Amino acid sequence: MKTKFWHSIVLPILILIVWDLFTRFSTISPFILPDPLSIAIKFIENMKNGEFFSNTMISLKRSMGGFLVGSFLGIASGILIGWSTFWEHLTDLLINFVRSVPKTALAPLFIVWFGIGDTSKILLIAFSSYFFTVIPTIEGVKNVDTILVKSAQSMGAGQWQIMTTVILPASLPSIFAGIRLAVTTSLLVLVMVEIIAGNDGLGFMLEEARGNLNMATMFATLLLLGILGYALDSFMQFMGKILMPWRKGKTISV
Amino acid sequence: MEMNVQNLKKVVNNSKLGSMTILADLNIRITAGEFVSVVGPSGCGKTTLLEIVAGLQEKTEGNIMIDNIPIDKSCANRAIVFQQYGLFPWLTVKKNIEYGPKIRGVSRAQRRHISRIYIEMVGLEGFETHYPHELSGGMQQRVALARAMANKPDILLLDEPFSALDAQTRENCQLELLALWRKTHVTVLFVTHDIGEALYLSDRVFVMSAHPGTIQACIPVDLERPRIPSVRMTSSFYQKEKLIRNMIGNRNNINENKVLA
Repeated sequence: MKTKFWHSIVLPILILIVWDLFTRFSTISPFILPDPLSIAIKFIENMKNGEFFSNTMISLKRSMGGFLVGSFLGIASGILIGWSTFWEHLTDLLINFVRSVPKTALAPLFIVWFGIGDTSKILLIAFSSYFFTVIPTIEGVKNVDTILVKSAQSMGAGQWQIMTTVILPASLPSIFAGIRLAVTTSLLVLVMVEIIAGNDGLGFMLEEARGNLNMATMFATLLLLGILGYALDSFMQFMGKILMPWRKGKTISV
Repeated sequence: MEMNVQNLKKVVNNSKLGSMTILADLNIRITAGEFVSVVGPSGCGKTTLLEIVAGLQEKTEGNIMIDNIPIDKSCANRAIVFQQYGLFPWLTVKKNIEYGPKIRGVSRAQRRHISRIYIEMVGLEGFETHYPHELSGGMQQRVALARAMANKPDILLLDEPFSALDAQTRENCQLELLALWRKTHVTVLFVTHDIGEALYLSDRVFVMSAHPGTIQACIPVDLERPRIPSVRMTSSFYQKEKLIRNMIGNRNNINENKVLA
């Protein structure tokens, strides 16, 4: 574990050193590429003055709100669609068509419909989360081993019991794969909408830093977004291990 | 419990092949506490028969009666064990065995009592909190047996339960199944393509023929019990094995190689 950690930070450290040397000895302007140290200083500064904290909270509220609503609907309807051919045939074309529209392309429309406030942002993130969870859930439910369903049935389980005690746990690994995608993309969509229509949040901070040519703040914000995304994904992986203890020891690629 | 299958018929409508008769005029009568096997070439409808009895498939015509009461839907009084075990990978050994009772609303304390009994019966003490993938194939199949028996079924249905196991493990599992049967007096319907296995375990062996699947003969096995593996070496065992092999071979030349293999 320890050697693995040291092994994995070799490359990032190397990049930082090259970056530092590059900004030190080349003629590149700090308005294009600031040096790592001034980014770190800006990062700490923004942490201290609460700028990062308040904007992170605003952004998290939007992305998590949208993610929770979207993925809940995605999982619930995915189970239904995967389970019954009636719902599958009814929704198949619609889902696959709407899914093919890049979610970010809907931002202008959502802004017209729901304004530039939180509603349009949360709805757009929910929309994208929905499609990232509904498809893996459908696949997961459809791929449940029939022998498991037959076993439960032969022991007297009814439709609802089969759904909750067999279909749901059996498709949990693929549902979780979808959840992880949805979490990561919820940040992506969030930053995009905050850049085009916002007056607060981390995406807005990026846009504002660009306007002020404050490159150190821009990089510091990017760093924060990276940390945020990584933390969210790690949390989801952790939740996966809690909820699916039987997957421990097996290679987990969810 | 006594089971009676009368004039069972199963027709499947396939969009490509049209309608196909899988089973026709199939009659089986099993007395209470009997151990009965069904052998036949692959594709003769053995599994279909078992799943219809289990209530997992619908029959087209005929009657299935348990103690003269016709049965239709799946119900815990007919427990089935599959070749691929069918254990829930997300449940521990103990929870797998308690699944049936839990579904039927048996109290927690009672469930624990039941699982303890059957874990002991199949010799899996110490593995209660293991997940299925942490067990060998033979152990998994013993869990599946215990899980089926935890429902206190009137009839235990087994669909080639030991085919996926190596020869040594299979022999051990066969002995365990016989011991389990002796202890519980459950009525057993055992489906296999292994003639030796059927003879070794059963009181009677039903021989099926294919297209459509029906009972061709019923061979009583009058070997003394409890059976020991060396019974397979006796001449009367060999005679019966040869008899059944010829029956399946004569009626079904195409499948002969598969059966003999």
